[in-house]
Amino acid sequence: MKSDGLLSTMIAAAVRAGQLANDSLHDNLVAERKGSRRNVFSTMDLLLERFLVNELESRFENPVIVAEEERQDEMPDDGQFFTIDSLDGTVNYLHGLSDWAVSISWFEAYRPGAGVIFAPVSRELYYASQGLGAYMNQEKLSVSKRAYEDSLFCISLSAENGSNSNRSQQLELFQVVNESSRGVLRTGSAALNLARLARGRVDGAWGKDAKIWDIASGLVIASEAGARVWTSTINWQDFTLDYVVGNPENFQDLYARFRSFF
Amino acid sequence: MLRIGVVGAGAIGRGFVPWLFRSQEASFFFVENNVSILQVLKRDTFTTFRSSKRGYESISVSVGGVVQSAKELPGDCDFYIVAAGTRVFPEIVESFAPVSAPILSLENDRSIVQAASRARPDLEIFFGIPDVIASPTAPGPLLQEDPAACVTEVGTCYIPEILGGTIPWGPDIVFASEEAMHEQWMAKLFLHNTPHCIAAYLGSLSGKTFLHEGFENPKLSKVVEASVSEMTEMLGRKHGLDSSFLESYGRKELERFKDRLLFDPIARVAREPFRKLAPRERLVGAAELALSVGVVPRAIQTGILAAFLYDRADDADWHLRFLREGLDPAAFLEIVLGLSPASALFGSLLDDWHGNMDFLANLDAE
Repeated sequence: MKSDGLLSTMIAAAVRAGQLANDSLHDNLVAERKGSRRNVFSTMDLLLERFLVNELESRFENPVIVAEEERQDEMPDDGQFFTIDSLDGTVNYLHGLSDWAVSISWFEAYRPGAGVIFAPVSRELYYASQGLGAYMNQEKLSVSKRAYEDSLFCISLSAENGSNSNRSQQLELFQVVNESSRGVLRTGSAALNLARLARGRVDGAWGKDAKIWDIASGLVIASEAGARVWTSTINWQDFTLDYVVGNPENFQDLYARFRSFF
Repeated sequence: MLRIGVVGAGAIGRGFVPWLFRSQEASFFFVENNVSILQVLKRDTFTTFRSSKRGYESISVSVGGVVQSAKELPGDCDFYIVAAGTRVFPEIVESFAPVSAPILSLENDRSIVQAASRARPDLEIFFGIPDVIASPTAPGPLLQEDPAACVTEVGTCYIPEILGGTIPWGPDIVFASEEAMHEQWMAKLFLHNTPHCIAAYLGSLSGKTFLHEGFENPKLSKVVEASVSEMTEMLGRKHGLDSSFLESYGRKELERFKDRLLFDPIARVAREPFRKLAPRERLVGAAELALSVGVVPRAIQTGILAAFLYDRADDADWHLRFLREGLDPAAFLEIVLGLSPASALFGSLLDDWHGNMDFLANLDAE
């Protein structure tokens, strides 16, 4: 598939979708559970996903798309496909909070190569493509230089309940890092965690059993902004992976702590 | 012999600054991180030129040394001058070794000097206003004579009068009171910077390389002249500046832009459009100020849209193209310019959007 206009198209789609969602922010949206209490989706998630799929299909011929709610095409031989998280931070959205975003990524040879994240309430538009740098609106992004002890981190906790030991370990790791650094936030949006890491506003992020559509765009953006990134091998059955991302100064310390648990 | 440290060996640093000391013996220590400029300066002297009514004049510039970082500058210079670009100014100041001699910023932004002074209270940093256009290059025959050649024009430099007794300054220096510095800065910001970059963006759309070439197009000329009128009116109403001073300044600027001897590259003037489109800067800031005093900035709005269309792969803000291609006009204004949809400028730009885009698309048509 040609990549002419790839990033621009992803930007256009993400912004239009975000504006649609923002216009409905205070409407009475139906929320349904997908399992645990925290794993919810709203009618907006599905509406937006269909909107985004339509946008990509109108611009590209037969795009392969892997999305959170509905569309999950078969993995192509060439490893080229889009991921869509139409509303990363659904719980925040349903509660009228501002930390939610539309997230689209593009994979080349099964590796994320371009990413766009749009947070409509704060008007933050993050975009990056491999080798071209990472940007938010006009600004070129660069990660922070804070050492581990002075760093503020973000954790992404899977909404699905993992095994008890896995969840307990995650919470223990949270405590360990929280007490040895400037702290750990749980913002409810993995995409925005990574985007703000790229911007230098937070200094690291990690997650266990994250879905690729949640974090792929953020990984590209953070990487292009100078972050150090580790991911586990992607489980292509359920599209999950683990990840640890930091700046060059704090990454080793964060990664070592993560690995001491997982 | 005077020892002058100069950070930034571009158009101002190596093209204009030496002229300020032409009446005394001076040796210049340059800081430059562009390797190709660094290489051509690694010698004892180079020649720099200026355009005048008599054609080109030249002086020989004595090079005391060339280094890549401000921290490598000799700590015993009699004076330091910084003209390296507003985006890098904060990190330059941060890297300066503690020196006792004054540091004069000739950057195009007064606020960064104030911020730098707060960040480095151990340094004496002042704001100066070069009233000149300088090109970092020169026409072919002059470059053949000296690959380090630049061309500037006959100009002056306004510096705070407190610096009067520091070193033996040349005749092109004007020592100015705080009020006079303010007047000159307002004029430079809005009667030079604003129409200058508009001329560059329009010239770029016409495929021109040097600024004066764009003025062969009467449509371009008319827009730039109109922007000068809008700013003259704004400065008079908003800041109460003297109208004859403003009109004379505006006429002078228009003549400068058309100087065929200057060879001012459009790429230099137009560079970093995001910086120029920043909220309180020479395009959006100028337009908002105009609207605030009842002046409709039609020409400046044309310039703003022309800046949106600037597209050079080697420009630091080349990523503008993704936003231009991906966003509709309203989203572009909100997300890229940070304009509130409730603002007068937002509405005005949107109203004129398609008309302006048509005009710009047909800039070269008869």
